[in-house]
Amino acid sequence: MGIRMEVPLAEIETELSRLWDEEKSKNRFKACLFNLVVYTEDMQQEPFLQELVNGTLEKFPCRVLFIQADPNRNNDYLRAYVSNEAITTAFGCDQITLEYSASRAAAIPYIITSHLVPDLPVYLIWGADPSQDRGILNYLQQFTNRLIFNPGSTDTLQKFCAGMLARIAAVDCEVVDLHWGFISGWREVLARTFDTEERTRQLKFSKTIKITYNTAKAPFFPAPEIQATYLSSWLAGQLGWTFLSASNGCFTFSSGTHQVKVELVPKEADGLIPGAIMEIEVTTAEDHAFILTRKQKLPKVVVHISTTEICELPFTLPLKNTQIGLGYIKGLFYQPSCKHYKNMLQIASQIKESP
Amino acid sequence: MTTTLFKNPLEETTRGSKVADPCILVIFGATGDLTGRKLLPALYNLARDGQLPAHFACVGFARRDKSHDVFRGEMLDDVNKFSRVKPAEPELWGTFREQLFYHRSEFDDDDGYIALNKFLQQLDTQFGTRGNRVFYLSTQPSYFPLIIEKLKQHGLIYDVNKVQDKWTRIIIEKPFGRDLQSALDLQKDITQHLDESQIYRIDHYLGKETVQNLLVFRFSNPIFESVWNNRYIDNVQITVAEEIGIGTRGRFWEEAGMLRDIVQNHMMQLLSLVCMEPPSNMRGDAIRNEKVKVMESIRPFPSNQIGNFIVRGQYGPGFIDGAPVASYRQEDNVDRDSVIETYAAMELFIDNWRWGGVPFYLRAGKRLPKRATEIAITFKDAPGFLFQSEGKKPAHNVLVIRIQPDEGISLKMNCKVPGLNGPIQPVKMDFRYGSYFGSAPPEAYERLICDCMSGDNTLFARADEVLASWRLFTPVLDYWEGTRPADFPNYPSGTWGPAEADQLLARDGRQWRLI
Repeated sequence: MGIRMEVPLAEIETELSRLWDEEKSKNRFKACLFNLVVYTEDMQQEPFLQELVNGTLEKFPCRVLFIQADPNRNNDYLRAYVSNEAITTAFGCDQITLEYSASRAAAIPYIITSHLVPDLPVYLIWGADPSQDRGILNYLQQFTNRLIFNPGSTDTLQKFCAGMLARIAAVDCEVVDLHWGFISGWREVLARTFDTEERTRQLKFSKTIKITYNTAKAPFFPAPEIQATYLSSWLAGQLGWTFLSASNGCFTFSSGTHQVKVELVPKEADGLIPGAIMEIEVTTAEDHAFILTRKQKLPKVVVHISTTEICELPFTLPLKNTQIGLGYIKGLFYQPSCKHYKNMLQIASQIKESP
Repeated sequence: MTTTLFKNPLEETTRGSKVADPCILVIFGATGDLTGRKLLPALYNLARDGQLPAHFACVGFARRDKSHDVFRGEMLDDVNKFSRVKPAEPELWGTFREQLFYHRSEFDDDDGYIALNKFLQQLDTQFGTRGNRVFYLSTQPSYFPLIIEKLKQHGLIYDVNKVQDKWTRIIIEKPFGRDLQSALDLQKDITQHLDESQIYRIDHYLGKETVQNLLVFRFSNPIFESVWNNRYIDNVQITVAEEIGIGTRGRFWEEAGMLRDIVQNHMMQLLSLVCMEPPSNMRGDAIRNEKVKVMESIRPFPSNQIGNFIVRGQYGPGFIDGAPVASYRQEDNVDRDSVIETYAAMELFIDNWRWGGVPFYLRAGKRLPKRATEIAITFKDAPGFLFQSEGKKPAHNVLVIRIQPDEGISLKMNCKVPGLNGPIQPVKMDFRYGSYFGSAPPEAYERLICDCMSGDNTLFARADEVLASWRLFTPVLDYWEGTRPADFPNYPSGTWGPAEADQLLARDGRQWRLI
């Protein structure tokens, strides 16, 4: 890890150049594939975001601009730090950190844009509630190629999803979110399990679906039910269900001919990220059961399929992207956002617990 | 009978460095900002690099009363502050300072010029400078005709047709006039006493290493020259951005504005170097001929639609590097209702075979988020529909020539991200002067002063270039003068300019590069 130094704002680039000049004698050089701007207003999110950044840098060297905002209006400060993060013995990356209080917010967008490496993509991870933006996000998004949001930052998931739909319609860049990436493995598992017309029909007209998820919380994951809600909404969006009601973690959809109940089952589990989905149990209209269980903490899912007459041999499918690894990061930065995501948002934006 | 200049048989012409003739450099306006910040540091560095002629002296000419030693002391302070290599080396400075002198006079004082002539002749004897003179007019342009007339009157400017064993050259700083008529008047005034070959119109951008590299880059790399045309290029953007405001130059700026200060001269030089045809040789006039052709091919702004092609702006209060800064109208010596522009952006077309149909977007501004001068050549999309994703094509290739800071050249191209079904991501091939060539290159003024002393006018603007540029922009200045902007200031300091400048490109489906 490079040494972090506080510098005057006007000296940021000079100081970075100086740091790299010192590295020349060690035959280490700077690499940069894109600009990664990470914004947060909550110090407690920093460990997760730093883990995300470190995971990114290992495979995709980039210039990181870490923006730590303090919404407390009583403070007044604006500080800049630079470091040249060592990735391998051969190369490293620039990291610029800006810490500022709300009173200095007006200057921030212009400081950020003047330190982006030109001609390379700009990816912005917005760790705060986008609906509370004081102008920084709205300014930066015009320069951004990919906006990445955290659904846990908003009061309610419904509000977040509605906001995301509006933003997707308004901007030209890709819009993705951190939690959508975490369920990509489960989406693939479901797609490979229900991989025939018959099985998809069964899923579409199933009676109940139970999704068990890790109920542990963490600062970046204040609402552990998000992934499970996303998965339910994704199923609904792809299978053409319409949302009817939600109550006590149970969603009711209509498949057109009858109702599908999706129950979110919280369960504590160690060693998994908060909200990680551990099991999906589908009971079809014909009382066939599809039980997809994550094999403890391994990235594998065992699929048990049984009908009223027979029990098929279980099989195992790989479960990708359950934590911050190459696949997850690649998906976050390079996967084009697809219609599935938008369909999911359409459904999730309607899900509101009945009082 | 003509006398040929002496050619030293001992002088090696293949040494790779220019040989400047012995001469005396007289700087008019020597107590001004330019002398301390640029000219004297340039001379010092030339001396340091062994590029000053062995027989050389410099005389500062100004109105204030001071001795040679006081002047030398002030110049030492400036060299210690502004030289690219500092502090001044004591031993070197010890010798160099002995070549510096000061002459006090008013610009219109005949006695002053008589005394100057006498003094220069003494210096010729003392330093062996053979009567060669460079007069650097670092003064307000309004003094140029007066000074030149006095110099001629007192025998300090030689007639090129009559005197061939010594020479006089005059360096004049921009602006060369305020508009076409004043430029024509100035040209008429100074050519009464000078031959064009004696006039060196300095544009310091031409002295920058990176600007000179433009010609080398274009004409020694056929791979680029073959695509340097409207078949392959989508648009060209030239940006001169400064984060500083006008500082203490309020009075000057109120008379000038961005169009006169930067666009009409520096940007037109950059444009002509980007667009010119290969010259027949690398001599001064061959290059300047091609540059003039570019200037004459620029489509004039339609008189009834000037506002559709050129946008002006003035900075308001804002933030630079996080610190609040005042608006232009709050600067010293600026009218509180000033309508002077600190920002200009435009769309130009060059109507010739090479560039027909390619839009050139130029922008220059003060109090923008960062200091940067660059030329960005954006190439057209690849034909067809390969590698499209969700209806979006891969990024355009962009060749960027960074003039300052972080001098260099980069090429943005597309690559596949490793892995199964890897998407396409733009990457940059980057050449940086600092990384490749280590030490800092000579400053622009060093090169230009050395060139003038060597008699090489390649990097100086010719009269027809200057007049062609005024022909293009004078109608714009007239239009602006007659149309008061209602919305000034129209961009906060620290932003990239007024929204109208963005619309200039947006209507063509493009946008300004993020620098």
